[in-house]
Amino acid sequence: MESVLAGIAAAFTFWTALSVVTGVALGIAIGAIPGLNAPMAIAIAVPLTMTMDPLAALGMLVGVMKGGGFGGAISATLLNTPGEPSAVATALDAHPLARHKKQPRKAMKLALYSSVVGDTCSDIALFLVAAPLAAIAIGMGRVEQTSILLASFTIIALLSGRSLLRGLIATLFGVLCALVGTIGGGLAERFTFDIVALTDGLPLAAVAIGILAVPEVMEQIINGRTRPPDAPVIEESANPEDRRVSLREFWLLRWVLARGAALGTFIGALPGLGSSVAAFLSYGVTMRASKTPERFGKGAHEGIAATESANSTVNGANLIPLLTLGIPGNVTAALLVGAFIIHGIEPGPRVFLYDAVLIYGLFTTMMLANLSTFLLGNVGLRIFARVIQVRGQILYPTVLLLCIVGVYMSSSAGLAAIYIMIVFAAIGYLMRKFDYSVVCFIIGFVLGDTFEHNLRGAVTILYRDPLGRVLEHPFAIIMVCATLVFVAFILIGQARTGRKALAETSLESKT
Amino acid sequence: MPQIRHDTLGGALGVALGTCLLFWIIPRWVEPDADLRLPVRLLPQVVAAGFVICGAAMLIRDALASRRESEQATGGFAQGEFRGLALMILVLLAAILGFQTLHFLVVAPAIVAVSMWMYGPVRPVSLVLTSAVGPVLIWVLSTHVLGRVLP
Repeated sequence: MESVLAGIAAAFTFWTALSVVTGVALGIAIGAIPGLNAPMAIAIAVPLTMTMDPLAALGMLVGVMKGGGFGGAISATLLNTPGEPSAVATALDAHPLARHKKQPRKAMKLALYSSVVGDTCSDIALFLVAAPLAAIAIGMGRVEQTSILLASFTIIALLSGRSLLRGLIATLFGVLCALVGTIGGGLAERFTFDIVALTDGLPLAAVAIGILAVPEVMEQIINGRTRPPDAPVIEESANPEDRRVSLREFWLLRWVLARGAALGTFIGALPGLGSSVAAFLSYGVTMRASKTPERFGKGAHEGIAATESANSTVNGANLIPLLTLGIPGNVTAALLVGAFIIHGIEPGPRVFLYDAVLIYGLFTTMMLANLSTFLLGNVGLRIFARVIQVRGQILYPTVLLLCIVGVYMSSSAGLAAIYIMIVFAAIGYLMRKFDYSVVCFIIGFVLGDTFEHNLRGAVTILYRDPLGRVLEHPFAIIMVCATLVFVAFILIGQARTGRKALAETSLESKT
Repeated sequence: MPQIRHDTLGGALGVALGTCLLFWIIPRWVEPDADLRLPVRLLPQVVAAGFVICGAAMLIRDALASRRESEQATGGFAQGEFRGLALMILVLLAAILGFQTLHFLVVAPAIVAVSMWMYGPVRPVSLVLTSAVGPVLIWVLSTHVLGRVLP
């Protein structure tokens, strides 16, 4: 209890609170820019937080994450060009409400309130669940942790991309990159190619910014000439009722919001399933449950509430596996792992033992971030809506420069870090073009080192009598078996789909 | 000339990378160490084997795939995009070389200006203002606010 109170007090210091508010403002602004999203904003912001106090730094990143979640809905509403992939589902109803019914402000406010409700629900779930789960996880040994990591890699590879094999290749490539550097306290070197800058391994900021942010910026710059002109300005109704969301209107959405939050929490707690899955699932379930499904896609309030509550909830819920098992569920959580490590904190269940004040402080900053999103979103909606009008020609070159500066500042490798960033930017560009999951790569990269560390421990335990000793770890056996069953289930499903497609093709060619 | 399918290309690259790792890069660039219980080379070898297996599976799958599936394949470059990517990378590499000899405030405006020109037609006033103001603001933020020296 002492730690909880100390954590709350730490979060309410001036600089921490200011960092959170700044993070939220940055997140909303960047999230609103089509093409940029919260993970990119976090990747760029991580180097900026290096000189800050750990709680203020994490608070700022949490603010960026939450603000970015809502920011994506602004461009989805006004331009029908979602800033975040998860906001694609939001655009289905938010854009028609803004364009055809002339209620852009109502659409954005609905998205804002739903987003804040979803975020708050997931934060409460995290607060209630994380500590007890961490207490269980602390009792786990290396063998169990290795099995959990193996299961996570497999699930992420299977579910994150559209193709299982491409997902696996991306994950393996991430693990391979994590193996670069010295091992065993400098006993041996791997893949350093006699380059001094690689002895400490590949810098996370250079890799993350290189693979996440720079390819998007490069794509925007390269394809700038062929891009169609911006969408015409949306007209707004003169009726004041069309510019706000009444309490009655919002109360009518309570079950939709609750369902979205529940779905988002469940999906967010599983590694690999991102906010897009939660948003579309919630949208589909809400539409099916509705008595008037024909209104969906034409500006239905339920559509906006269902998607925004679900995709925002995923953010908080994703921290459940991160804080209890040290496993990031998505790119945002993986970048937070990097931020934890940069500030000398090992994410995982032991953080509740050694850095309890920081963790409860982090939980408090999450609530603060929700409040800030609500207030900033309400007060500054007009300003944030103008962000989308900033010309890409000015914006993207500046963001590119920020990426270069961020990478340079974050690493002791100096200019070599920028070389690494360029290499990964090229790889990231090709991965995006050929549909290889960047999520799989980042999670493989972040977890690769931990996986090897645990595997080394597990081998030491099982070394003399592997078969006999492994029976002493029933949880690990269950995890491995469950993973195999899951893989078989997915493979059989894919084979059936493939056979059906083959049959359809042969039928077509006969006719 | 038949178009190369994406999975064939990816699969071939996977097999090539895995083979290269197994027979050339790992023996040459991973130091063996007898003191550790888990051999240092084991995980890289497992990853390399994974590349070979997944790459081969992609090749086989693509060979067996129906025409419709291959037609539905997404991705690839638009016309001129590859050239743009190469130019962008060259600009970034030139920027690093510039940073090695010149001050940030000399090189950064050039990067912004070239990027703006690559984006599309630009008014000279806008070009000059953006390429001057953006880098100066970033320099002030990093050097004076965050206390980090830039190249």
